[in-house]
Amino acid sequence: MDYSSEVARHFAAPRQAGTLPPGPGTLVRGEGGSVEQGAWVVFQARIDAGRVVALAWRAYGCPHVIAACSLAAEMLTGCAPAELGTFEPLCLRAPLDVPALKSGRLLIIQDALRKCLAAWDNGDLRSPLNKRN
Amino acid sequence: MQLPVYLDYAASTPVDPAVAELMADCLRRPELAANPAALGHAAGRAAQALVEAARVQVAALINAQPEEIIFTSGATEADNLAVIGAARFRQSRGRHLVTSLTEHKAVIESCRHLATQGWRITWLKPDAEGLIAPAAVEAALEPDTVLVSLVHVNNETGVVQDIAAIAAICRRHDVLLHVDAAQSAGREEIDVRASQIDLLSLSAHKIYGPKGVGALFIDQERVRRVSPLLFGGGQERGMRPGTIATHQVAGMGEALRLAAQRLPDEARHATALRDRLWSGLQQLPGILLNGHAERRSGHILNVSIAGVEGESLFYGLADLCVASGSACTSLSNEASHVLRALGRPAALAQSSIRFSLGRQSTAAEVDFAVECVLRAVRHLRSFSPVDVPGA
Repeated sequence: MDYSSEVARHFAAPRQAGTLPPGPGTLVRGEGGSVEQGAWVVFQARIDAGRVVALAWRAYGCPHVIAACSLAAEMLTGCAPAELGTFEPLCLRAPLDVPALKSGRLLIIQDALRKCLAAWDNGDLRSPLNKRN
Repeated sequence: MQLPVYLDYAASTPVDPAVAELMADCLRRPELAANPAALGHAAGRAAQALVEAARVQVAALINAQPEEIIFTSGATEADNLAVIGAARFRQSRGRHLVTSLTEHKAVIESCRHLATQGWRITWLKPDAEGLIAPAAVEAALEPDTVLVSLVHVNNETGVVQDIAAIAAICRRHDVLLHVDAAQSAGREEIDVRASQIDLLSLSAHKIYGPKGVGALFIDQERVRRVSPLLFGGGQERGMRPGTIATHQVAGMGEALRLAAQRLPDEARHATALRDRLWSGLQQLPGILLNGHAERRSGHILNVSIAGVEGESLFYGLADLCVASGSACTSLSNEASHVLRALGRPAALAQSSIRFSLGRQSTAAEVDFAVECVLRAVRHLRSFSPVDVPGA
Protein backbone atom coordinates (compact mmCIF):
# COMPACT_ATOMS: atom_id res chain seq x y z
CA MET A 1 0.00 0.00 0.00
CA ASP A 2 1.21 3.51 -0.79
CA TYR A 3 1.06 6.20 1.85
CA SER A 4 1.07 9.94 1.28
CA SER A 5 3.89 12.18 2.44
CA GLU A 6 1.50 13.62 5.06
CA VAL A 7 0.93 10.14 6.50
CA ALA A 8 4.67 9.56 6.50
CA ARG A 9 5.22 12.84 8.31
CA HIS A 10 2.64 12.17 11.02
CA PHE A 11 3.72 8.53 11.40
CA ALA A 12 7.36 9.45 11.93
CA ALA A 13 6.59 12.29 14.35
CA PRO A 14 3.05 11.93 15.67
CA ARG A 15 1.66 15.16 17.12
CA GLN A 16 0.28 15.11 20.65
CA ALA A 17 0.66 11.36 21.06
CA GLY A 18 0.72 10.03 24.58
CA THR A 19 -0.89 10.99 27.86
CA LEU A 20 -1.77 14.38 29.28
CA PRO A 21 0.02 15.27 32.51
CA PRO A 22 -1.94 16.61 35.47
CA GLY A 23 -2.90 20.26 35.10
CA PRO A 24 -5.64 22.86 35.42
CA GLY A 25 -9.06 22.17 33.97
CA THR A 26 -11.02 19.00 33.59
CA LEU A 27 -9.58 15.84 32.09
CA VAL A 28 -11.92 13.59 30.10
CA ARG A 29 -11.27 10.42 28.16
CA GLY A 30 -12.95 8.55 25.34
CA GLU A 31 -12.05 5.50 23.33
CA GLY A 32 -13.24 3.64 20.26
CA GLY A 33 -12.52 0.40 18.48
CA SER A 34 -10.48 -2.55 19.68
CA VAL A 35 -7.47 -4.59 18.78
CA GLU A 36 -9.81 -7.15 17.24
CA GLN A 37 -11.28 -4.49 14.98
CA GLY A 38 -7.80 -3.53 13.82
CA ALA A 39 -7.94 -0.03 15.27
CA TRP A 40 -8.15 1.10 18.90
CA VAL A 41 -8.02 4.81 19.68
CA VAL A 42 -8.05 6.58 23.03
CA PHE A 43 -8.32 10.37 23.28
CA GLN A 44 -7.79 12.53 26.33
CA ALA A 45 -8.98 16.10 26.41
CA ARG A 46 -8.26 18.79 28.99
CA ILE A 47 -11.06 21.33 29.04
CA ASP A 48 -10.53 24.66 30.73
CA ALA A 49 -12.39 27.94 30.53
CA GLY A 50 -14.71 26.53 27.90
CA ARG A 51 -11.99 25.37 25.50
CA VAL A 52 -10.16 22.13 24.77
CA VAL A 53 -6.76 23.37 25.90
CA ALA A 54 -4.95 20.09 25.35
CA LEU A 55 -5.65 16.92 23.46
CA ALA A 56 -3.61 13.73 23.50
CA TRP A 57 -4.18 10.31 22.02
CA ARG A 58 -2.96 6.77 21.95
CA ALA A 59 -3.64 4.48 19.04
CA TYR A 60 -3.22 0.92 17.86
CA GLY A 61 -3.81 0.93 14.15
CA CYS A 62 -2.49 1.28 10.65
CA PRO A 63 -0.41 4.30 9.53
CA HIS A 64 -3.57 6.06 8.33
CA VAL A 65 -5.16 5.76 11.78
CA ILE A 66 -2.03 7.08 13.48
CA ALA A 67 -1.77 9.99 11.07
CA ALA A 68 -5.48 10.75 11.43
CA CYS A 69 -5.22 10.85 15.21
CA SER A 70 -2.22 13.14 14.96
CA LEU A 71 -3.93 15.51 12.52
CA ALA A 72 -7.25 15.48 14.39
CA ALA A 73 -5.49 16.34 17.64
CA GLU A 74 -3.82 19.31 15.97
CA MET A 75 -7.09 20.47 14.43
CA LEU A 76 -9.18 20.17 17.59
CA THR A 77 -6.83 21.70 20.16
CA GLY A 78 -8.31 25.03 21.14
CA CYS A 79 -11.82 24.20 19.99
CA ALA A 80 -15.02 24.33 22.02
CA PRO A 81 -15.89 21.01 23.68
CA ALA A 82 -18.98 20.63 21.50
CA GLU A 83 -16.73 20.38 18.45
CA LEU A 84 -15.40 17.07 19.74
CA GLY A 85 -18.88 15.76 18.98
CA THR A 86 -19.38 17.47 15.66
CA PHE A 87 -15.95 16.73 14.23
CA GLU A 88 -16.33 14.96 10.91
CA PRO A 89 -13.44 12.49 10.61
CA LEU A 90 -14.01 11.96 6.92
CA CYS A 91 -12.55 15.45 6.47
CA LEU A 92 -9.22 13.75 7.17
CA ARG A 93 -9.48 11.57 4.09
CA ALA A 94 -8.34 14.16 1.60
CA PRO A 95 -5.32 15.63 3.42
CA LEU A 96 -4.08 12.12 4.30
CA ASP A 97 -5.21 10.42 1.10
CA VAL A 98 -6.96 7.74 3.11
CA PRO A 99 -8.30 5.00 0.84
CA ALA A 100 -12.06 4.54 0.83
CA LEU A 101 -11.82 1.04 2.28
CA LYS A 102 -10.34 2.53 5.44
CA SER A 103 -13.09 5.08 6.03
CA GLY A 104 -14.48 2.88 8.80
CA ARG A 105 -11.30 3.32 10.79
CA LEU A 106 -11.77 7.08 10.76
CA LEU A 107 -15.17 6.56 12.34
CA ILE A 108 -13.42 4.86 15.27
CA ILE A 109 -11.65 8.18 15.85
CA GLN A 110 -15.05 9.87 15.81
CA ASP A 111 -16.30 7.36 18.41
CA ALA A 112 -13.41 8.19 20.72
CA LEU A 113 -13.89 11.96 20.39
CA ARG A 114 -17.64 11.75 20.96
CA LYS A 115 -17.05 9.73 24.10
CA CYS A 116 -14.75 12.47 25.32
CA LEU A 117 -17.58 14.92 24.84
CA ALA A 118 -20.04 12.56 26.50
CA ALA A 119 -17.71 12.26 29.48
CA TRP A 120 -17.57 16.07 29.68
CA ASP A 121 -21.34 16.39 29.37
CA ASN A 122 -21.93 13.70 31.98
CA GLY A 123 -19.36 15.10 34.38
CA ASP A 124 -17.45 11.83 34.06
CA LEU A 125 -14.02 12.96 35.22
CA ARG A 126 -11.16 10.53 34.66
CA SER A 127 -7.66 10.25 35.97
CA PRO A 128 -4.89 10.02 33.38
CA LEU A 129 -5.09 7.12 30.97
CA ASN A 130 -4.80 3.65 32.43
CA LYS A 131 -3.44 1.19 29.90
CA ARG A 132 -5.09 -2.14 29.49
CA ASN A 133 -4.53 -5.12 27.31
CA MET B 1 25.29 -2.37 3.30
CA GLN B 2 22.79 -2.22 0.50
CA LEU B 3 19.29 -1.13 1.46
CA PRO B 4 16.77 -2.50 1.77
CA VAL B 5 18.32 -5.54 3.45
CA TYR B 6 16.92 -8.70 1.92
CA LEU B 7 15.74 -11.20 4.51
CA ASP B 8 13.04 -12.94 2.50
CA TYR B 9 14.95 -15.91 1.11
CA ALA B 10 12.05 -18.23 1.87
CA ALA B 11 9.98 -16.26 -0.62
CA SER B 12 12.65 -16.40 -3.29
CA THR B 13 16.38 -16.38 -3.70
CA PRO B 14 18.69 -14.56 -6.07
CA VAL B 15 19.87 -16.78 -8.90
CA ASP B 16 23.38 -18.02 -8.27
CA PRO B 17 25.81 -16.39 -10.74
CA ALA B 18 26.99 -19.81 -11.96
CA VAL B 19 23.38 -20.80 -12.58
CA ALA B 20 22.64 -17.55 -14.39
CA GLU B 21 25.70 -18.01 -16.57
CA LEU B 22 24.73 -21.55 -17.43
CA MET B 23 21.22 -20.47 -18.35
CA ALA B 24 22.48 -17.55 -20.41
CA ASP B 25 24.82 -19.91 -22.22
CA CYS B 26 21.86 -22.18 -23.01
CA LEU B 27 19.97 -19.25 -24.41
CA ARG B 28 22.91 -17.91 -26.42
CA ARG B 29 23.89 -21.16 -28.10
CA PRO B 30 21.81 -21.76 -31.23
CA GLU B 31 22.45 -25.50 -31.12
CA LEU B 32 20.54 -25.62 -27.83
CA ALA B 33 17.55 -23.74 -29.15
CA ALA B 34 15.94 -26.90 -30.43
CA ASN B 35 12.99 -28.60 -28.78
CA PRO B 36 14.40 -31.26 -26.45
CA ALA B 37 11.61 -33.59 -27.63
CA ALA B 38 12.78 -33.34 -31.26
CA LEU B 39 14.98 -36.38 -31.06
CA GLY B 40 15.06 -36.88 -34.79
CA HIS B 41 17.96 -34.45 -35.20
CA ALA B 42 21.20 -33.59 -33.50
CA ALA B 43 20.06 -30.23 -32.18
CA GLY B 44 17.07 -31.76 -30.42
CA ARG B 45 19.23 -34.46 -28.96
CA ALA B 46 21.72 -31.88 -27.70
CA ALA B 47 18.93 -30.05 -25.92
CA GLN B 48 17.59 -33.29 -24.56
CA ALA B 49 21.04 -34.21 -23.23
CA LEU B 50 21.05 -31.03 -21.18
CA VAL B 51 17.60 -31.79 -19.81
CA GLU B 52 18.60 -35.31 -18.87
CA ALA B 53 21.80 -34.07 -17.23
CA ALA B 54 19.67 -31.74 -15.13
CA ARG B 55 17.33 -34.58 -14.28
CA VAL B 56 20.31 -36.56 -12.93
CA GLN B 57 21.37 -33.58 -10.82
CA VAL B 58 17.89 -33.10 -9.35
CA ALA B 59 17.56 -36.81 -8.61
CA ALA B 60 20.96 -36.91 -6.93
CA LEU B 61 19.93 -34.29 -4.38
CA ILE B 62 17.23 -36.57 -2.97
CA ASN B 63 18.70 -40.02 -3.77
CA ALA B 64 16.14 -40.71 -6.46
CA GLN B 65 16.53 -42.24 -9.90
CA PRO B 66 16.51 -39.74 -12.78
CA GLU B 67 13.50 -41.37 -14.37
CA GLU B 68 11.56 -40.61 -11.20
CA ILE B 69 11.86 -36.85 -11.75
CA ILE B 70 9.15 -34.99 -13.65
CA PHE B 71 9.88 -31.34 -14.42
CA THR B 72 7.10 -28.86 -13.75
CA SER B 73 6.69 -25.09 -13.70
CA GLY B 74 7.39 -24.95 -9.97
CA ALA B 75 6.53 -26.47 -6.63
CA THR B 76 2.95 -25.24 -6.84
CA GLU B 77 2.37 -27.26 -9.97
CA ALA B 78 4.27 -30.20 -8.46
CA ASP B 79 2.00 -30.06 -5.40
CA ASN B 80 -1.09 -29.95 -7.59
CA LEU B 81 0.16 -32.84 -9.70
CA ALA B 82 1.05 -34.89 -6.64
CA VAL B 83 -2.17 -34.34 -4.73
CA ILE B 84 -4.74 -34.18 -7.51
CA GLY B 85 -2.88 -36.46 -9.88
CA ALA B 86 -2.23 -39.18 -7.31
CA ALA B 87 -5.76 -38.95 -5.89
CA ARG B 88 -7.37 -39.28 -9.29
CA PHE B 89 -5.10 -42.11 -10.39
CA ARG B 90 -5.85 -44.07 -7.24
CA GLN B 91 -9.50 -43.25 -6.81
CA SER B 92 -10.54 -46.83 -7.42
CA ARG B 93 -8.81 -47.64 -4.11
CA GLY B 94 -10.42 -44.86 -2.18
CA ARG B 95 -11.26 -41.19 -1.98
CA HIS B 96 -9.88 -40.05 1.35
CA LEU B 97 -6.84 -37.81 1.85
CA VAL B 98 -5.04 -36.59 4.96
CA THR B 99 -3.22 -33.31 5.15
CA SER B 100 -2.78 -30.48 7.65
CA LEU B 101 -4.07 -26.98 8.28
CA THR B 102 -0.56 -25.57 7.95
CA GLU B 103 0.28 -26.71 4.43
CA HIS B 104 1.20 -24.35 1.64
CA LYS B 105 -1.84 -23.03 -0.18
CA ALA B 106 -0.89 -25.12 -3.20
CA VAL B 107 -1.67 -28.27 -1.21
CA ILE B 108 -4.62 -26.79 0.67
CA GLU B 109 -6.33 -25.54 -2.46
CA SER B 110 -5.61 -28.80 -4.30
CA CYS B 111 -7.29 -30.69 -1.46
CA ARG B 112 -10.19 -28.24 -1.42
CA HIS B 113 -10.62 -28.76 -5.12
CA LEU B 114 -10.76 -32.51 -4.62
CA ALA B 115 -13.32 -32.01 -1.86
CA THR B 116 -15.60 -30.28 -4.35
CA GLN B 117 -15.28 -33.38 -6.50
CA GLY B 118 -16.35 -35.73 -3.70
CA TRP B 119 -13.07 -36.62 -2.01
CA ARG B 120 -13.02 -36.54 1.79
CA ILE B 121 -10.20 -34.60 3.38
CA THR B 122 -9.01 -34.90 6.97
CA TRP B 123 -7.30 -31.69 8.07
CA LEU B 124 -4.84 -32.36 10.87
CA LYS B 125 -4.34 -29.57 13.38
CA PRO B 126 -0.78 -29.10 14.57
CA ASP B 127 0.09 -28.56 18.19
CA ALA B 128 0.80 -25.04 19.41
CA GLU B 129 4.38 -25.34 18.17
CA GLY B 130 3.38 -26.42 14.70
CA LEU B 131 4.20 -30.12 14.91
CA ILE B 132 1.97 -32.83 13.51
CA ALA B 133 2.25 -35.90 15.70
CA PRO B 134 2.86 -39.09 13.72
CA ALA B 135 0.27 -40.76 15.94
CA ALA B 136 -2.25 -38.18 14.77
CA VAL B 137 -1.52 -39.09 11.17
CA GLU B 138 -2.03 -42.75 11.93
CA ALA B 139 -5.27 -42.05 13.79
CA ALA B 140 -6.58 -40.15 10.76
CA LEU B 141 -6.03 -42.99 8.31
CA GLU B 142 -9.10 -44.81 7.11
CA PRO B 143 -9.51 -47.92 4.99
CA ASP B 144 -9.99 -45.78 1.88
CA THR B 145 -7.15 -43.31 2.50
CA VAL B 146 -4.98 -43.06 -0.60
CA LEU B 147 -2.66 -40.16 0.18
CA VAL B 148 -1.12 -38.21 3.02
CA SER B 149 0.35 -34.84 2.05
CA LEU B 150 2.54 -32.95 4.52
CA VAL B 151 5.15 -30.25 4.17
CA HIS B 152 8.65 -31.05 5.32
CA VAL B 153 9.70 -27.54 6.39
CA ASN B 154 6.84 -25.12 6.88
CA ASN B 155 7.33 -22.11 4.65
CA GLU B 156 6.10 -19.64 7.30
CA THR B 157 7.49 -20.95 10.57
CA GLY B 158 10.32 -23.21 9.46
CA VAL B 159 8.97 -26.04 11.60
CA VAL B 160 10.34 -29.42 10.50
CA GLN B 161 7.91 -32.34 10.54
CA ASP B 162 9.05 -35.84 11.44
CA ILE B 163 8.69 -37.11 7.91
CA ALA B 164 10.57 -40.35 8.52
CA ALA B 165 8.20 -41.42 11.29
CA ILE B 166 5.15 -40.39 9.30
CA ALA B 167 6.43 -42.16 6.22
CA ALA B 168 6.90 -45.39 8.16
CA ILE B 169 3.29 -45.20 9.25
CA CYS B 170 2.09 -44.55 5.73
CA ARG B 171 4.15 -47.43 4.40
CA ARG B 172 2.77 -49.77 7.03
CA HIS B 173 -0.77 -48.83 5.98
CA ASP B 174 0.04 -48.83 2.26
CA VAL B 175 -0.89 -45.17 1.92
CA LEU B 176 1.11 -42.89 -0.33
CA LEU B 177 3.03 -40.04 1.26
CA HIS B 178 3.56 -36.78 -0.57
CA VAL B 179 6.06 -34.35 0.92
CA ASP B 180 6.27 -30.71 -0.08
CA ALA B 181 10.02 -30.08 0.05
CA ALA B 182 10.01 -26.59 -1.48
CA GLN B 183 11.68 -25.10 1.61
CA SER B 184 13.79 -28.10 2.57
CA ALA B 185 15.39 -29.36 -0.63
CA GLY B 186 18.97 -28.15 -0.65
CA ARG B 187 18.75 -26.98 2.96
CA GLU B 188 18.03 -30.24 4.81
CA GLU B 189 19.29 -33.69 3.90
CA ILE B 190 16.61 -35.59 2.02
CA ASP B 191 16.78 -39.26 1.05
CA VAL B 192 13.51 -40.37 -0.49
CA ARG B 193 14.56 -44.02 -0.30
CA ALA B 194 15.67 -44.07 3.32
CA SER B 195 12.69 -41.91 4.33
CA GLN B 196 10.22 -43.96 2.30
CA ILE B 197 8.73 -40.93 0.58
CA ASP B 198 6.51 -41.66 -2.41
CA LEU B 199 6.06 -38.21 -3.93
CA LEU B 200 8.12 -35.07 -3.32
CA SER B 201 7.73 -31.52 -4.64
CA LEU B 202 10.76 -29.38 -5.42
CA SER B 203 11.25 -25.72 -6.28
CA ALA B 204 14.21 -24.16 -8.05
CA HIS B 205 13.81 -20.54 -7.07
CA LYS B 206 13.86 -21.30 -3.34
CA ILE B 207 17.43 -22.55 -3.66
CA TYR B 208 19.17 -20.05 -5.95
CA GLY B 209 17.72 -21.34 -9.17
CA PRO B 210 15.37 -19.65 -11.61
CA LYS B 211 11.69 -19.07 -11.12
CA GLY B 212 9.29 -20.96 -13.34
CA VAL B 213 10.68 -24.46 -12.87
CA GLY B 214 10.27 -27.20 -10.32
CA ALA B 215 10.01 -30.95 -10.16
CA LEU B 216 7.98 -33.78 -8.76
CA PHE B 217 9.61 -36.99 -7.60
CA ILE B 218 7.38 -39.99 -8.28
CA ASP B 219 8.54 -43.28 -6.81
CA GLN B 220 8.70 -45.67 -9.73
CA GLU B 221 7.89 -48.76 -7.72
CA ARG B 222 5.08 -47.63 -5.46
CA VAL B 223 3.47 -44.84 -7.44
CA ARG B 224 4.64 -45.15 -11.04
CA ARG B 225 2.02 -42.80 -12.38
CA VAL B 226 -0.22 -39.93 -11.50
CA SER B 227 -3.06 -38.58 -13.61
CA PRO B 228 -1.88 -35.56 -15.59
CA LEU B 229 -3.35 -32.13 -15.11
CA LEU B 230 -2.32 -31.01 -18.58
CA PHE B 231 -2.85 -32.78 -21.88
CA GLY B 232 -0.69 -32.49 -24.93
CA GLY B 233 2.43 -33.91 -26.46
CA GLY B 234 3.25 -36.65 -23.99
CA GLN B 235 6.44 -35.21 -22.56
CA GLU B 236 7.59 -36.29 -19.09
CA ARG B 237 6.15 -39.76 -19.59
CA GLY B 238 2.76 -38.26 -20.35
CA MET B 239 2.39 -36.86 -16.87
CA ARG B 240 3.41 -33.31 -17.66
CA PRO B 241 3.22 -32.48 -21.33
CA GLY B 242 4.57 -29.28 -22.74
CA THR B 243 7.88 -28.33 -24.29
CA ILE B 244 10.53 -28.35 -21.63
CA ALA B 245 12.36 -25.08 -21.15
CA THR B 246 15.91 -26.33 -21.55
CA HIS B 247 17.53 -23.31 -19.93
CA GLN B 248 15.14 -23.46 -16.97
CA VAL B 249 15.71 -27.09 -16.13
CA ALA B 250 19.44 -26.74 -16.73
CA GLY B 251 19.41 -23.88 -14.27
CA MET B 252 17.46 -25.94 -11.75
CA GLY B 253 19.87 -28.85 -12.09
CA GLU B 254 22.88 -26.64 -11.53
CA ALA B 255 21.27 -24.85 -8.59
CA LEU B 256 20.49 -28.11 -6.87
CA ARG B 257 23.94 -29.50 -7.61
CA LEU B 258 25.51 -26.45 -5.98
CA ALA B 259 23.10 -26.64 -3.07
CA ALA B 260 24.04 -30.25 -2.40
CA GLN B 261 27.73 -29.29 -2.34
CA ARG B 262 27.18 -26.36 -0.02
CA LEU B 263 24.44 -27.76 2.19
CA PRO B 264 26.37 -28.36 5.44
CA ASP B 265 28.16 -25.01 5.37
CA GLU B 266 25.09 -23.05 4.37
CA ALA B 267 22.93 -24.74 6.96
CA ARG B 268 25.47 -23.79 9.65
CA HIS B 269 25.68 -20.24 8.30
CA ALA B 270 21.92 -19.74 8.25
CA THR B 271 21.38 -21.29 11.66
CA ALA B 272 24.02 -19.11 13.27
CA LEU B 273 22.49 -15.97 11.80
CA ARG B 274 18.99 -17.04 12.70
CA ASP B 275 20.05 -17.59 16.31
CA ARG B 276 21.83 -14.21 16.33
CA LEU B 277 18.66 -12.57 15.05
CA TRP B 278 16.44 -14.25 17.63
CA SER B 279 18.86 -13.38 20.40
CA GLY B 280 18.83 -9.72 19.35
CA LEU B 281 15.07 -9.53 19.01
CA GLN B 282 14.55 -10.94 22.48
CA GLN B 283 15.56 -7.54 23.86
CA LEU B 284 11.95 -6.69 23.14
CA PRO B 285 9.37 -7.67 25.72
CA GLY B 286 6.24 -9.21 24.25
CA ILE B 287 7.94 -11.01 21.38
CA LEU B 288 6.83 -14.57 20.72
CA LEU B 289 8.50 -17.29 18.68
CA ASN B 290 6.16 -18.99 16.23
CA GLY B 291 6.93 -22.66 15.84
CA HIS B 292 8.94 -25.23 17.72
CA ALA B 293 12.10 -23.86 19.27
CA GLU B 294 14.27 -26.81 18.21
CA ARG B 295 12.53 -28.61 15.36
CA ARG B 296 12.90 -25.85 12.82
CA SER B 297 14.91 -25.14 9.76
CA GLY B 298 17.97 -22.95 10.16
CA HIS B 299 16.91 -20.32 7.64
CA ILE B 300 13.50 -19.21 8.93
CA LEU B 301 12.54 -17.21 12.02
CA ASN B 302 8.93 -16.24 12.58
CA VAL B 303 7.97 -13.99 15.48
CA SER B 304 4.83 -12.26 16.68
CA ILE B 305 5.10 -8.88 18.39
CA ALA B 306 2.45 -7.90 20.92
CA GLY B 307 0.93 -4.44 21.16
CA VAL B 308 1.64 -3.21 17.65
CA GLU B 309 -0.57 -3.30 14.59
CA GLY B 310 0.79 -5.28 11.67
CA GLU B 311 0.47 -2.74 8.87
CA SER B 312 2.16 -0.05 10.94
CA LEU B 313 4.87 -2.46 11.99
CA PHE B 314 5.72 -3.19 8.39
CA TYR B 315 5.50 0.45 7.44
CA GLY B 316 8.23 1.05 9.98
CA LEU B 317 10.39 -1.70 8.50
CA ALA B 318 10.83 -0.14 5.08
CA ASP B 319 14.58 -0.82 5.16
CA LEU B 320 13.99 -4.57 5.41
CA CYS B 321 12.57 -7.07 2.94
CA VAL B 322 10.72 -9.47 5.21
CA ALA B 323 7.39 -11.23 5.09
CA SER B 324 4.36 -10.34 7.14
CA GLY B 325 1.98 -12.49 9.07
CA SER B 326 -0.67 -11.66 6.64
CA ALA B 327 -1.21 -14.45 4.20
CA CYS B 328 2.18 -15.40 2.84
CA THR B 329 1.00 -14.61 -0.63
CA SER B 330 1.11 -11.02 0.55
CA LEU B 331 -1.74 -10.31 -1.81
CA SER B 332 -4.26 -10.59 0.96
CA ASN B 333 -4.66 -8.88 4.31
CA GLU B 334 -5.98 -12.01 5.99
CA ALA B 335 -4.04 -13.30 8.93
CA SER B 336 -1.75 -16.21 8.11
CA HIS B 337 -3.64 -19.51 8.18
CA VAL B 338 -0.51 -21.17 9.52
CA LEU B 339 -0.21 -18.87 12.53
CA ARG B 340 -3.95 -19.07 13.16
CA ALA B 341 -3.67 -22.87 13.19
CA LEU B 342 -0.96 -22.52 15.85
CA GLY B 343 -3.48 -20.64 17.96
CA ARG B 344 -2.34 -17.06 17.40
CA PRO B 345 -5.22 -14.56 17.46
CA ALA B 346 -5.71 -12.76 14.17
CA ALA B 347 -4.22 -9.47 15.40
CA LEU B 348 -1.08 -11.18 16.70
CA ALA B 349 -0.77 -13.20 13.52
CA GLN B 350 -0.89 -9.98 11.53
CA SER B 351 1.83 -8.40 13.64
CA SER B 352 4.15 -11.26 12.85
CA ILE B 353 7.33 -11.11 10.86
CA ARG B 354 8.97 -13.93 8.97
CA PHE B 355 12.70 -13.43 8.52
CA SER B 356 14.45 -15.87 6.22
CA LEU B 357 18.19 -15.96 5.77
CA GLY B 358 20.28 -17.01 2.85
CA ARG B 359 23.62 -17.53 1.27
CA GLN B 360 24.40 -13.82 1.08
CA SER B 361 23.08 -12.88 4.53
CA THR B 362 25.62 -11.38 6.92
CA ALA B 363 25.90 -10.72 10.62
CA ALA B 364 25.88 -6.98 9.91
CA GLU B 365 22.56 -7.34 8.09
CA VAL B 366 21.10 -9.31 10.96
CA ASP B 367 22.23 -6.70 13.48
CA PHE B 368 20.76 -3.98 11.31
CA ALA B 369 17.47 -5.89 11.12
CA VAL B 370 17.39 -6.15 14.90
CA GLU B 371 17.90 -2.38 15.20
CA CYS B 372 15.14 -1.70 12.69
CA VAL B 373 12.65 -3.92 14.48
CA LEU B 374 13.50 -2.55 17.91
CA ARG B 375 13.17 1.01 16.66
CA ALA B 376 9.89 0.38 14.86
CA VAL B 377 8.30 -1.49 17.75
CA ARG B 378 9.44 0.97 20.40
CA HIS B 379 8.08 3.83 18.31
CA LEU B 380 4.66 2.18 17.95
CA ARG B 381 4.50 1.08 21.57
CA SER B 382 5.32 4.62 22.72
CA PHE B 383 1.76 5.67 21.85
CA SER B 384 -0.06 2.34 21.85
CA PRO B 385 -2.91 1.85 24.33
CA VAL B 386 -2.05 -1.86 24.53
CA ASP B 387 -0.33 -2.86 27.74
CA VAL B 388 2.69 -5.05 27.03
CA PRO B 389 4.25 -6.23 30.30
CA GLY B 390 7.82 -5.10 30.53
CA ALA B 391 7.51 -2.60 27.70
